[in-house]
Amino acid sequence: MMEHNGFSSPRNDSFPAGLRVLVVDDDPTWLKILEKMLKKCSYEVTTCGLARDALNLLRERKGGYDIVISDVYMPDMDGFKLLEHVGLEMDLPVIMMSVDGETSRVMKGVQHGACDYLLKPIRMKELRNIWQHVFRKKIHEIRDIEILEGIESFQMTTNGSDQYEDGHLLCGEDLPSIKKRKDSESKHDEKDIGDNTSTKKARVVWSVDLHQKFVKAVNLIGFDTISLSCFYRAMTSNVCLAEVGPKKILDLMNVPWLTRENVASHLQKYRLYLSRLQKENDLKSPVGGIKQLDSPSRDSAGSFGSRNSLNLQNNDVSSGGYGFSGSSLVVHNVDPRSHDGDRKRLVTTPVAEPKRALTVDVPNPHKTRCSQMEFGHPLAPPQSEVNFGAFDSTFSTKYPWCGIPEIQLKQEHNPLHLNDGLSHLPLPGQKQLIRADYPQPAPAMSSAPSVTEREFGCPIKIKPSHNEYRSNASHVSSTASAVDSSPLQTKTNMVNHQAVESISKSTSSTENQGLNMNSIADLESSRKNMNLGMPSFATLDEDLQVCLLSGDSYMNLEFQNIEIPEYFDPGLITDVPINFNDGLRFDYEFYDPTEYSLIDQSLFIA
Amino acid sequence: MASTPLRQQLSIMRQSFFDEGILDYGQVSFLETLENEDDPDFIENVFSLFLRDSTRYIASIDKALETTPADYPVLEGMIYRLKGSSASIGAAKINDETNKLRGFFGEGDLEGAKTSLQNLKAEHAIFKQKLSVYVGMLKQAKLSEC
Repeated sequence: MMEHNGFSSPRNDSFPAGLRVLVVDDDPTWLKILEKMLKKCSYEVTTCGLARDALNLLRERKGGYDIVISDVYMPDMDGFKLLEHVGLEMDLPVIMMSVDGETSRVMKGVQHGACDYLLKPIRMKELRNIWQHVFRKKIHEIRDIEILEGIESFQMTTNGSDQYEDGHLLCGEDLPSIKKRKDSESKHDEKDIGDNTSTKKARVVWSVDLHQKFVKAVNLIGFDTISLSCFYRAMTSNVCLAEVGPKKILDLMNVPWLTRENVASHLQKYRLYLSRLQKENDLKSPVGGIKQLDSPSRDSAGSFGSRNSLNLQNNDVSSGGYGFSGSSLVVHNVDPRSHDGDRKRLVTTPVAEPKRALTVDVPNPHKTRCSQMEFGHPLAPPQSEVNFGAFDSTFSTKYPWCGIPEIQLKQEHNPLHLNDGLSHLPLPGQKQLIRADYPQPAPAMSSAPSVTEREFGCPIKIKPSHNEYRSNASHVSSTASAVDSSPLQTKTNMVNHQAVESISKSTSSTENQGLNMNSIADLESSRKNMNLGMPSFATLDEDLQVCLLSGDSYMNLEFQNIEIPEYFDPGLITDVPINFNDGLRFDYEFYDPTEYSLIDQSLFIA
Repeated sequence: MASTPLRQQLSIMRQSFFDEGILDYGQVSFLETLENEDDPDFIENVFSLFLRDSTRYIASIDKALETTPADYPVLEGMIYRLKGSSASIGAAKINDETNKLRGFFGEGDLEGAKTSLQNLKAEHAIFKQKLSVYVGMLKQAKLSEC
């Protein structure tokens, strides 16, 4: 029997409502009961009594289902065979059910690609969690796509980047490793990519924690020493910045096994990331309608506008990256009075997102930070303006059921108070749960509609681990809170390719709390960005951020449809290559220490 | 709805099922929570489905065991289905007997399986009779309450 319950209306009320489930079971009683149970989870259910009917359904509506649940025993076809078909043809997650948990059967299911194995009688909570499989799969897919795109874009943009020659960037030789990574889906060896970098010796996996330490150290140093001039020189003349900052940073970080070269390499990437953000911001003023945000943000953010002229040339916070995740945040604090010129200079490097990377030319590092923080919120102010509409529509249509699951987030929910103009930004320690509820603005995202609309239904959750990051930014103080919220947004932007990378990495290890999420978020975001182009930035960030934050819990979550509308923004792509450099993924978006919770995470995903 | 005599009777019957072990309280009460305005006859429907299908499965098992040689694939499939089905609605005794039958079958003990099948059939007959009455009364109660 086949009943179609319709996939029309998106459910915005709760995530993962609307998940489209195909249930295959030849026992009518179970079919009826499962249907009821799934409906109670707010899923869209279609039932099938025969395996071949199920396959027909799946083939007829490609992309019409998100997950398949099937009994191992079907009269017309072995359940495992069905599982194989579904996995190969439709690449959907499949959950197997059985009346017994005989080990050999379970193993068979796993071998055939089942993502879960449920025993009958099935409990409600088991069904409630099935969305996690969809989410996880999406994350991986995004990650893989991002990686590939990154590779491609990298190849496209490799020219002329002297500084990349030393292996920091992902070079051609990295491609095989990247591809290999892509092939191996699951646990990506983060080291694959990173290996070819300049630090050929020990591969340093820049975990979230490590990156946090790095950022903290960098912040402590105040980026002063890592001055604009140095940076600029480095960017343009291959002057190695190693002498300037890394040693100090290394000392501050107090990580015994880390070498100065590791730090230098990471630092360089970080700077590139920041500058890329900056450049992005500068170049793209109306990012997804973000530019409008500028003014509002300025006003709203208050601090933002005043404080940091956000590197944006036009002082448009929004222009760059508001929507974007992280980058916008970074807006470094450029002092209004000064840095226009500087900014421009800094921006020379291709900055992916308008991340106004904090670093570079911040005349007042401190101020910068603050501004960053505030900026971080860029998401907030612009939110109203940000035109995520594009996303939303696409997103919503694609994933009607994408709702951001607030529930999943374990963390406290700190809605981004972007709206408030940063003042209310949650302090770093707080976990922000950014929930991008599609159609309705996620509460977390104070920034509002723009954020939520980001097309993705994925809730942005800031993962609890986020807190750790926060501590780093503690010095940033009040503004930091702002950052928290913003990270989400920025993150999303950043997500683009870079995020993808990081996400992929992070996703591979579920235990990587922050990372996983980040990676997911990043992936999602970057993916989105990539596809969407500018506007997506905002959304991506969110995604990223969400991902980042949530960590393992999020792996499964919320991200139901990580399908990011395909916009592809070439500009973003260019950045990608940078990100792919040796495994340090952070470069993608830029790293705003304040925001680090989100950004860091993406960076880490090396 | 008011506690009519019919409802009271239903309640007593229901409780007796639990007390006698015919039905599993946990599973049945869970199923009852699934019932809502959209599908007010859910419980009756599910029970009716089971009554119909379980009869069919047992008949198949019986036939498969009686043939020579025994029809193993059919036996395996039917026993599997019956086990799952009975678990779905909380038909505890039937489920137990099915598990025993499955055990014999798994060991290749056809004689033991046949004996077990007789027990299963007996339990099934009791179940069917009682639940048929219950479902009938339930439908009647709902009709009268509309």
